[in-house]
Amino acid sequence: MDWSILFNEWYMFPQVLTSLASPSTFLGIVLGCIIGFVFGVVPGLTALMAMTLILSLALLLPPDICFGAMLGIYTAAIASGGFTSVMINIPGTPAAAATVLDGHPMARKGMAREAIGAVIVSSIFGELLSISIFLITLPFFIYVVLSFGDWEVFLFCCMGLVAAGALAGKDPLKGWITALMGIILGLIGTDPVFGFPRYTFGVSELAKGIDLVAALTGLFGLSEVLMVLKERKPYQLIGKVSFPKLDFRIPIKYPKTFLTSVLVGLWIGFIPAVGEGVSPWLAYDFSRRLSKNKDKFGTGWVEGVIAPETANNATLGGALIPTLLLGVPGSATTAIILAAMYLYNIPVGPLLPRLRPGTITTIIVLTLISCAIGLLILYLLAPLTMHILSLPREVILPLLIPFFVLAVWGSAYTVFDIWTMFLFGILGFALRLADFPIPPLVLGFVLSRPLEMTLRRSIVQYSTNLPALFLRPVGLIIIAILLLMIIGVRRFTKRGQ
Amino acid sequence: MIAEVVISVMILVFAVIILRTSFLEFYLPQPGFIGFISSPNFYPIFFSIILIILCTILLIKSITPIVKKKRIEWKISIDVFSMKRIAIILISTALYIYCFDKVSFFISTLLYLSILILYLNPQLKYKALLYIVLGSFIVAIIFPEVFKIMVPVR
Repeated sequence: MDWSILFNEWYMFPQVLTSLASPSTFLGIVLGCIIGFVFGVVPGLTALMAMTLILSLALLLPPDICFGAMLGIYTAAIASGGFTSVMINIPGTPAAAATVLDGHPMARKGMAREAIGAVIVSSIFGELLSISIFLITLPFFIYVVLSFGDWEVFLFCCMGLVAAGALAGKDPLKGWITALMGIILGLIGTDPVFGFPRYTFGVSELAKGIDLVAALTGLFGLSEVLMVLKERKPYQLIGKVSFPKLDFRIPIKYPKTFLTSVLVGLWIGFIPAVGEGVSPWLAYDFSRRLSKNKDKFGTGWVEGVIAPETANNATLGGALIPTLLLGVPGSATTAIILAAMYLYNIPVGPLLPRLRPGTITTIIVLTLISCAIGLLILYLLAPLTMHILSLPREVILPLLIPFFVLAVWGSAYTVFDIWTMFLFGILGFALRLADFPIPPLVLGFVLSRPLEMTLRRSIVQYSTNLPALFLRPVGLIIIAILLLMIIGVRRFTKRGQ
Repeated sequence: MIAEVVISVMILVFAVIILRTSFLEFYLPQPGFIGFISSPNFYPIFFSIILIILCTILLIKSITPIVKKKRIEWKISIDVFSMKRIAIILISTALYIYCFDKVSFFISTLLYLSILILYLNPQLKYKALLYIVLGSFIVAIIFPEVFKIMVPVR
């Protein structure tokens, strides 16, 4: 084994850092952070929507700017969603839902500046620590995935689909149904091995398959817009936000809460397609159990803000591991990053460190820069929170639809793709109405081709001795985990309910 | 509950169509078991069968409480406000997409935003005009210029 491959990404760190130090990359990240701040603050607008918009422009932008903008959006939107939780008791993004529990009571006690300061510091430091852990443990993960063959990648994809289906929604059955639907929709188009057209129903445009950008824009963009515009829920704006009070000693003052939340974020991020929606709740629960002040949780206690806000941003570090090294997105947001990588023909998966050395380090460095810029932007823009919230949602959301249309048009220049986006928007909206989770559908759609290709290659490789396929040691471990997961899902969901 | 039943039935129909099409267009690259499992239709067949099983389970799970009540309440409460809103948004968006490569992009965006913003915000009046004109200008003029997107009809 070539051991240098394990540490290659570390060696490339200074080189990548120098190559990314360009004004255009910084501008991309700054713009990403500003867009992310707005999308995070306004309830109904999400990080996913903003990242989908950037995804549609991926082919028109250089990769560094595109990924920089996406990571800037992620950092700022996930953090600023907490501002709205603190100020108006409504989470700005689903990832900030648990922040409401202690954030708003803090604001009612006249500690809004402290609460927003805690949101910023814990979000940024949480993401920094999580991405640093990813960087430090990278050689270990590269070593593990290099022992993966097609069969193991296939099994890991299956594990991801089972986990995503089980944890993404309230009912595992619905999650698995949407995941399977995603797989089948992803199979539409020309068969990659024999060039045989599948389910095109005579529509020539379907021969190339359903366009990824159009499908994701419909599912995450248009359907979200429809969901928000479905009902009129006005929120009351009381008070104003001045510059937040940043306390950089938070990780030292509350080390147990901070570290627990980072670890929860990393772990939940590692489980495919679960992501930022789940980790804050688990971190809040764990931190409350471990804290000496568990009675103060829920009454406006700062640890109740630190735990969810640290965990939601820390999810990124964990989610990037399966996304980059196996091509299985750890969360809905990393599914967008993965889709952008497909558009740039980046060979995501176990061979990424060998075929495109420096790619993983680039993403890590861009995240580190996003954290630094995000800290500054969030601090400077925090006083504008109430002004942005006073903008009518019924004006901002309709404005997004022409943007989606134009961005999808710009990605492939066919009206057919715009109609695809429209139909996927309706599909996503209908599924949401019946409480079917969307992330497993996206995961199934994205994984459909890799799932089929890896299984077909494994079967061809072992066609003379098929039982030997089931006796590969790493594969056996994954099969055991997979079985345990299926058995454990019912117990877990019952406890969760 | 009703939404769950309707969506489950729709997914079930979708899975059955996929399964039927898979059998109608079956392609066997080589004879035998290996030929069957490496066929392009094998995976869709496999996944659609699982989908049909899961949908049937969900359907039974959703219908059971309704059947247990014995008296089926056919009167479903529909949120007219939401439905009307969504119908108008979807129809106007469909028209907007239809006109995309036929009418000037700036004019169609201006008309589309006028309909949506004025319908969703009847109280805005003059302020709405500002949002509509500014929004259309950014979307239809600045955005394509910055990102070098060629719109079909300027």
